[in-house]
Amino acid sequence: MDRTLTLNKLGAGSKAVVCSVCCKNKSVGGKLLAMGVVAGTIIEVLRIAPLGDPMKIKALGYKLSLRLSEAAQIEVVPFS
Amino acid sequence: MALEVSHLKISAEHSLPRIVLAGNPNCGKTTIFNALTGLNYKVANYPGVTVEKKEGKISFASGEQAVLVDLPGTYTLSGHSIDEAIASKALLGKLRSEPRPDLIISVIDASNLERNLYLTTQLLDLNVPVIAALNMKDLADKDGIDIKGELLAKELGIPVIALSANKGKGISQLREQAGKLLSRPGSAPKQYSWLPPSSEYRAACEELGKLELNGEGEIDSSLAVLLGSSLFSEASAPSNAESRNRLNTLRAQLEGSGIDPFSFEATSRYTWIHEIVKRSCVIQSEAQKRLYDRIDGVITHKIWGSLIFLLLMGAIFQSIFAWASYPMDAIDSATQSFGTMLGSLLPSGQLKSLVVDGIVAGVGAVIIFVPQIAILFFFLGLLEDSGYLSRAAFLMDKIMRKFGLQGRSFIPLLSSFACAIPGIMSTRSIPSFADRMTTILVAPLMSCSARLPVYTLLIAAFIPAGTVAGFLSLQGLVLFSMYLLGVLGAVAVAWLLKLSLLRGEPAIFVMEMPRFRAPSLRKVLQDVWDRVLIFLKSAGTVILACSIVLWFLASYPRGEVKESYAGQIGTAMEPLIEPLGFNWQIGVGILSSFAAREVFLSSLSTVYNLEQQDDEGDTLLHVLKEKRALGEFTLPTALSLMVFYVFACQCMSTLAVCRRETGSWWWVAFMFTYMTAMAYAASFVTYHAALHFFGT
Repeated sequence: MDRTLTLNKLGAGSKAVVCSVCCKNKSVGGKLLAMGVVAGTIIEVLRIAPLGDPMKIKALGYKLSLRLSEAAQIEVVPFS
Repeated sequence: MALEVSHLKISAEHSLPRIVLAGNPNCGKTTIFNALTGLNYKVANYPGVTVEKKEGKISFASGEQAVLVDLPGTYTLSGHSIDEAIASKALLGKLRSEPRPDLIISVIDASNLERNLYLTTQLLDLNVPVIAALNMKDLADKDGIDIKGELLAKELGIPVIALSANKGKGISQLREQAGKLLSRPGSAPKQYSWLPPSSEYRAACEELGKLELNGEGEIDSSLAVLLGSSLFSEASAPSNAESRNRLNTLRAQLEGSGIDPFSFEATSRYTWIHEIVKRSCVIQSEAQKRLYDRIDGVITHKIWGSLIFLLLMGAIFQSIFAWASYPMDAIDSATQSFGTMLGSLLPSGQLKSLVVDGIVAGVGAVIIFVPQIAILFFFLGLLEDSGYLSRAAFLMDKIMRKFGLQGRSFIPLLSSFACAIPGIMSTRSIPSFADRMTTILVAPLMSCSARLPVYTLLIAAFIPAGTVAGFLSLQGLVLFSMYLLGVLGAVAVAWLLKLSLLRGEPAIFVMEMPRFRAPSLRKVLQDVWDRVLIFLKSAGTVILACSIVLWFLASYPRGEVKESYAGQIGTAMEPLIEPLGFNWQIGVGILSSFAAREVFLSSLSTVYNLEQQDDEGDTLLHVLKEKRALGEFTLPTALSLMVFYVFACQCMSTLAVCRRETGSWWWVAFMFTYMTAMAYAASFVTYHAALHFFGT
């Protein structure tokens, strides 16, 4: 069963493993990859900004903010 | 296979060896740079771009010296922003003005080891000696991460020095190690430890290196591996058809064997890094939820976060708007009394006028901005160093994006309500070129404190003191409309710019939110000092020159104001400004207020042959009321004039700072032209609408 979602679909408090980062927007994808959001990285969604966008996540022990449109480039498998 | 590098290459103009500091943003590079150079450095711009370059000298115990360059922070060598591109070009030796570095110090935030090691593993592939400076070791220790420096050094094949730079620890060891490596280069680091020698990816990259890419001819095959991911994903990279076909074939081959060329490099490097970290670190305790985590939770909270944000912004705005006025008044009166004192020493005549009204007044016009710049950068420094700035951008991004801007544009624009000079200077924190330029270009549309005297005078003289709807002061409402008009203008211009001149892919917002920490006062004050010096040196000179030119126009030929060049220009301009309801006197006022908007008042007083008095505002107010009674200066003219001041770029200092921050006169000309055109059109409409509704 395919349980992959894009990261923008997740709410605050959820955790997921990255399965791929697509190159739809190459600059965004490249930056995410360089910052360690690669296949296998565990991500935790910490917060959604008060106005609903962007989102704050934790990966490799540090915090990162990205817009939902950017998070849509990240495919993840959620787990609890 | 290896790059052709001669270590310690000595050329005529750069006889000293070059060391560069490379690292992620927020890894403490600048603190190390300051410590190693002992503050013996210069700040300039890289030629042709807006990226700042910090270069200084480092001395070794042997008495030898080297040039030390603090590169812009970057996460990767294949970054897309201007800052990142400059950093990688400098490391690859592709900047025309600079030779390749002889030694790279890779600064690593030890409390954020894995992500910081990514850039380090790329630097290892450059075939230049590398030292790893493991900074913020104290923080990592506190987090319960015990990094065994000697094990890490063995894994990476380079020396590793542990530092806590903000406490001054480890600096001397780093200096010693750098000196040692410069005098005895030894062997370059092992390349491509992350990549199996027989991998298909490697073969494909070597093939890639032989292709005609980006019109630059063959690139070194090792570079091709390094830049492979970006080259492979750039569908149209090669300029000729043959190379393009070959690239597509290579890509298809890789994909056929299950390798995604776009993510392969990053994924493989991180896999390797993961193994290294596992072998060289002991995680003693699972990091518990620390205080800063809890603060962070509050500060980005829906309600508390928004409240704290509003409070902080209010405090900053208050400080540059109100608190700065005390030192500014002091500077103003000091300049005046200095001018008077100097004037009493000089025989009256043209020299005295030049010195007192031209030079002294011009210098005063420059240093009057220092308090606002210093205060804003002090607060910004505190916010940035503590990690709050990225939280503010996080909170504001959605609103600002509606206007074609982004979260990081908010503070520069807010500051511009006090003064556009520090506002424009603070756009440096915006990495995207288009977003930064848009912010700079609309910043002067925010009504700054220098417009306030013009608004209040005209409102006091022409707007009756009554109320609207029973409780809103009409005068207050008009004042508020002026501020609102500026904001609406800025929104419209930002939106138009993003559709036309600064169109392009939406900027990247992927942004690290550095951990919260107590800001370092020393670093913040150092930055304030740098900003003030930059302003005085590069913008100050332009402002001074303009002041002298304006003084000349107003004073020659000597005699009546109307006969002076300024008067002549004002008179010549009259047909042009008449449709706005302005006469030549106002023309002279507008012209001379190019020095600073508030000069309009004193200039108008002079034109109306007023004796300069201390309470010139009141006297001028009186005169304006008389003129109004006589029908010489009407309500439509006053409204039109206010609207003109909302939009017009009546400030040479803004233009001078725009030149310094954008590095181009083109943008200065653009800013001046669009603002003047907008002011003209808006005034025209206002004047005629007012004529229609209120009569003369």
